[in-house]
Amino acid sequence: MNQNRSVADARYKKLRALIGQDSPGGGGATSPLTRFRFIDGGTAETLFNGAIGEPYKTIGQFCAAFAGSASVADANALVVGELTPAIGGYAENPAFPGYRSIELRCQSFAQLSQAIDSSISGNATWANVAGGATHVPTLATLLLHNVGITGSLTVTDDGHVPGALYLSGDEIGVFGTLGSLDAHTTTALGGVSVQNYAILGACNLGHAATSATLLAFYGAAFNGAVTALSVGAIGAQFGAACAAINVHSTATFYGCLFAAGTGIVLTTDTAGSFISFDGPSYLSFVEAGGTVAGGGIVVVVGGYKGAAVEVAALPTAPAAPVLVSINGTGASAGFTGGGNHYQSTGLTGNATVQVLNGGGEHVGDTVRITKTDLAAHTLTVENNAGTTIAVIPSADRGFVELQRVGATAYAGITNDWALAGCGSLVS
Amino acid sequence: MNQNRSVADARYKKLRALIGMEGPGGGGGGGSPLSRFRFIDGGTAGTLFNGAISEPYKTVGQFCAAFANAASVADASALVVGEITPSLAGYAENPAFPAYRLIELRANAEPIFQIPAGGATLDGNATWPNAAGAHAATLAILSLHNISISGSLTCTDDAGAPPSELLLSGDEATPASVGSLDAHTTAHLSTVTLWNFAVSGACNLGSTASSANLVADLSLFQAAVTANSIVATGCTFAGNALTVRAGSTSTFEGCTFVGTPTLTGGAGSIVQMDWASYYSFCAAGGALAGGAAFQIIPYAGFLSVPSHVAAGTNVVASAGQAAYPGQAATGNNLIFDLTGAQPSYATNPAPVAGERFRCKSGGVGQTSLVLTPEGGKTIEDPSNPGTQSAVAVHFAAGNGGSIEYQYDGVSAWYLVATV
Repeated sequence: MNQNRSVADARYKKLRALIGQDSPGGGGATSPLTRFRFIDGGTAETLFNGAIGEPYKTIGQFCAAFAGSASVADANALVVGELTPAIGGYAENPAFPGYRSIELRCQSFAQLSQAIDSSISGNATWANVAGGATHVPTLATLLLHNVGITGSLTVTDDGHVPGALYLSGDEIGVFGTLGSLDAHTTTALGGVSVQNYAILGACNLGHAATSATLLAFYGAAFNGAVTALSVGAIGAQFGAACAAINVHSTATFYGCLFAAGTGIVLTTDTAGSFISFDGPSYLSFVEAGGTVAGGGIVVVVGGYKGAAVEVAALPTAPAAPVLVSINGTGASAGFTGGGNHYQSTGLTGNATVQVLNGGGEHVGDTVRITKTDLAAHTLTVENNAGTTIAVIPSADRGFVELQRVGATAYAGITNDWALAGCGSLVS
Repeated sequence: MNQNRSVADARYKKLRALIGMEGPGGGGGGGSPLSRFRFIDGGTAGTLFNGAISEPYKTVGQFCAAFANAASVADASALVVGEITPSLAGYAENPAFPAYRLIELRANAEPIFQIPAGGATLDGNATWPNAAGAHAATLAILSLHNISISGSLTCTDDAGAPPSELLLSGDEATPASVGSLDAHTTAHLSTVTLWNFAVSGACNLGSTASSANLVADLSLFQAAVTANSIVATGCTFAGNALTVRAGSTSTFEGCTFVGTPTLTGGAGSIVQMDWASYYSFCAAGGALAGGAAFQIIPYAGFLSVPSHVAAGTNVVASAGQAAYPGQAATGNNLIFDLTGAQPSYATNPAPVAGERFRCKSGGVGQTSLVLTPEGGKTIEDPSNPGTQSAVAVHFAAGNGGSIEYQYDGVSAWYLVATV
């Protein structure tokens, strides 16, 4: 029987060759395109070469076909596996090849939390390490596009080839999803980019100096703890189970949402690192009960007018001007954590607050100084040059807002803080 | 000989049909291509090059040549698509996209420009000479989707060219990119639209009345940008120069400026920015030139760059915009420092509902401020709240404070706050 099958296969192949259907790289029904292969978990074909007529049946077959590379050029050039829907999805634990750039994608949505259609039901790994038949590319990348994984994705490396991981989706309404991501042992994974893609569990890239940076763009969602060298997030969401973000150095959040009531703690390993928010992100962070630990400096785009970063109360009887700055640089003891809203209550003597150019501010940033009560002493506000900008009178209460101006003179002031507004609070 | 060939062809076709390779309509799976959707594989060893998945084109040029001349207006007006697949060495060529028709070159792969070579990227310079087409589509479009071009993309057209558009987009995690974009000589290219796309060098669409408008979302411009007008959302501008046509209106929302941009517009041009874009523009040291005027949308209040009005100067309306010394023309929403001055402020002549402006005094030495609305509009007098008049006077001599007005969308400026 096997002999008969072999003879039949040989005849079939010969017949196809005669009509030009089995030339290498033909890309037709049975000959695959050179670097774009199809995967169909429901195929009844048996050749499994990635042609549309002979698709791979598993992702593992696709990965195995590109486990090694023929040359450096081969290792550098992208290969794509096109995953098509299959009943039951793909119940396997694929190991994506290292030392090359490989993309697994599908042209349908990645069903949320269900191992059907084009999702992977299992755990995936990407070991970006040298193998028996590998060549060293300039950059090794793994890209998952519209592909969901119910379990974990674990990334490891041997530290020799810079790596990048992309998780993305372009379908409407339903994210590609990943159970969890663990790359905390890597030392050459430069960045992980997440766009329109959700990580349901922990996203642990490590927080050492050699760990990877997390770049989260529109539609990215994290519902577990996030750990990374640094975080840059635009339009991302941090869900109800994301109670901690731990970074080695900096973090930036623009247009981000933090789920209410999480009490999220954002910890930096490096004291003095900037934690930069735009106003809406910081308001969302604060409303979620968010706090910063580890000595990170919160800076809000636009300063006070972006969102108030409150600071400890000013001393009631300072012997000398209290020095403050947006990033805390040059500030008096107790105010080196930075901030943009300073409040004075219960003055027992006249006081002066001097707003410095600490280096963390931009032109247009604002700072507010408020005297909250009717204490019978004055509160004087000075700019970086020591010029008196305003005096909140004794037995009165009010606020003064300063705006950082640039090289264009404003009321004779350049590159310093100038009066932007002031007001008296109702007694 | 021809008869023999005919017989051979018939046998070949029959043989293919027997093994299911020649289904009705070609099917596109075997040797017959889909009618308007073709495959391109730079690594193919096939030799027919007809765009079927089994016989893909080897180059983008072959794809373009196959559709160089439309057979009819209907043909020119119907889209044709080239699906480019990753290739070991990428695509080292200089394709010229066909004129007067709708054509898309796309990839279902990451346009990874970081990788030196390979993938679904074009290593060369591309052109779209939109001229001398056989038949003219109602609207000619060139669309590049997930396609990166290492060099330039140059678009030109002739007098007979139909209205045209250029679409540059990507839907993968990293944006596709072109080295530079030059369409400054075109007269029929109405719009260039970018979505999740990067232009590494100059983006020059020209800045005349016949130049193209630039509409960009989530895109990156790393050098100078020139266009009839710019409508940008969520974009990053890293160059030092943006130039738009005189009299045009450009809009920036959620944009970031990381160069030191000078935005040049001719007289009467208006630059609208939301506060985030304007903040970024100012923080980057941005400046207006050539008579362009700012409108900050919505009201940006104190985040606007403060402007000092020189002592004894009257602020007057000019050429449709309020103007004052030191800044050739300006719109609304600025903070006017009035220390030592006795100015009058003429409100923006074309306000929209909810628009605000604020003036503040410097305190000691301050003289009175006269606020004069444009013709046909009234302004609430803070010294007589609730009363609209032609002139409002605020700040007694020697007093400081600030005053803020909001436009009702019809004809009146209402007092919002005064301190």
